[in-house]
Amino acid sequence: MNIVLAAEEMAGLQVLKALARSPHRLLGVLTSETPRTESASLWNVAQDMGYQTWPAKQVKDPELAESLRSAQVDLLLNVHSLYIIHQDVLAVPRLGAYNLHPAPLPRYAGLNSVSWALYHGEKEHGVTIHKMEAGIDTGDIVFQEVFPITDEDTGLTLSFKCTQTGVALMLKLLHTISSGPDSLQFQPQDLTRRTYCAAKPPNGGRISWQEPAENIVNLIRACDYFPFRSPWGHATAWLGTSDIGVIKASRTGMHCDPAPGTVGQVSGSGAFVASADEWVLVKKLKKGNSYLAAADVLASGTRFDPFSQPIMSVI
Amino acid sequence: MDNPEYDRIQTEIAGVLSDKLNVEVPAEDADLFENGILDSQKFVELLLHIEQQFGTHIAIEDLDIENFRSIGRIATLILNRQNGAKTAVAQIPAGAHAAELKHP
Repeated sequence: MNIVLAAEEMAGLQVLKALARSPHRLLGVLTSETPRTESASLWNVAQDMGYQTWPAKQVKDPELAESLRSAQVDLLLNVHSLYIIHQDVLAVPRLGAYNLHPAPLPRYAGLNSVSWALYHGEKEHGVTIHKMEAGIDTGDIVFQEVFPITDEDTGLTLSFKCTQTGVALMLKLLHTISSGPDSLQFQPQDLTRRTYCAAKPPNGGRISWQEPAENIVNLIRACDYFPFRSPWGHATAWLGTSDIGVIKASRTGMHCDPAPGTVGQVSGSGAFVASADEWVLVKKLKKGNSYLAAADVLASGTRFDPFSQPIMSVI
Repeated sequence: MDNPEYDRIQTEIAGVLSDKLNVEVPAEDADLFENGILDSQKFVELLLHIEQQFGTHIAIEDLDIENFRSIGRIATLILNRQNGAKTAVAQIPAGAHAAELKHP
């Protein structure tokens, strides 16, 4: 098959490597252009492997359709690429265009679904491969796999799970199509169950200590891709005149009485901070450009600004 | 783990981190993520260097964050690969056995 890959991130790199080992012909890779100094970027890795690269945003250009038609493209694979592909481009591949979405569609369509799932305290998440059409993440599902979210999962660990599971499903798609495209089963999405994720975090990622501990910790976990870049940035809270990033925290199950935001016991394992119902164990903070243990920043008896506005869901 | 091969692999990984990625790891069991040692770019660089250095392939099934938390865990992964643990995806041409992935 003649394949074109539109991809980003680690998942895109893994699919690229799998395609390179496959008997298929990879015609080129649409991805974000990066300087040569970023040797591990998908752009540079693809070029080093001898593949043609095009800037990712070209998928929006209807002129790309003619190029793909001339090249007799059979299949277009989209892996975590953020641009909306032009309909004329989607129509070209003989065997269709397929997207790997890191969520169990029809729920959590849109952006940053991993963070939204953690924020909402979901107990399971998943990945979906669907046929691409004009609507965003609305096409028929061909493969989906769901897996549990543990209390210890963060944005980083859940993203790894999505990559591992999703890339495997992409390879399964390749195998199925190359064995016989007629064997693919298309499951239309029940769009009455659809939820759509906005790009930005709720309330700008501000922590309200007046919320129950579960909500606070879920927001912090949803933002926690440490040490990778977080698409939501860090959850933040005011302490005196400082804006502090709260990087890691967990629930304690211990009831608290002090006013929300009050710092209680501080030890090597972290600092207890009062929420609406129980102590939250805050472990790692970011102050300025430095990541610090909570015990190095917080003193017992001080108090975070409780932040009066509630955390609101915009999903 | 009293295994000279394991020790050699650990030393080579530490060398990759130091020489290629310019990061210093305080101990073989230091958590590369919790301690902020590997950002996303350095992680991908590490994957590429490991594959090159050890002539092995990081399969999709191996792409579990726990396999990369420390130099020791990475060494265990590589040692297992070198000892013949089969990759479910990596060395199989697409279209051959992809259905035998970890997700039946």
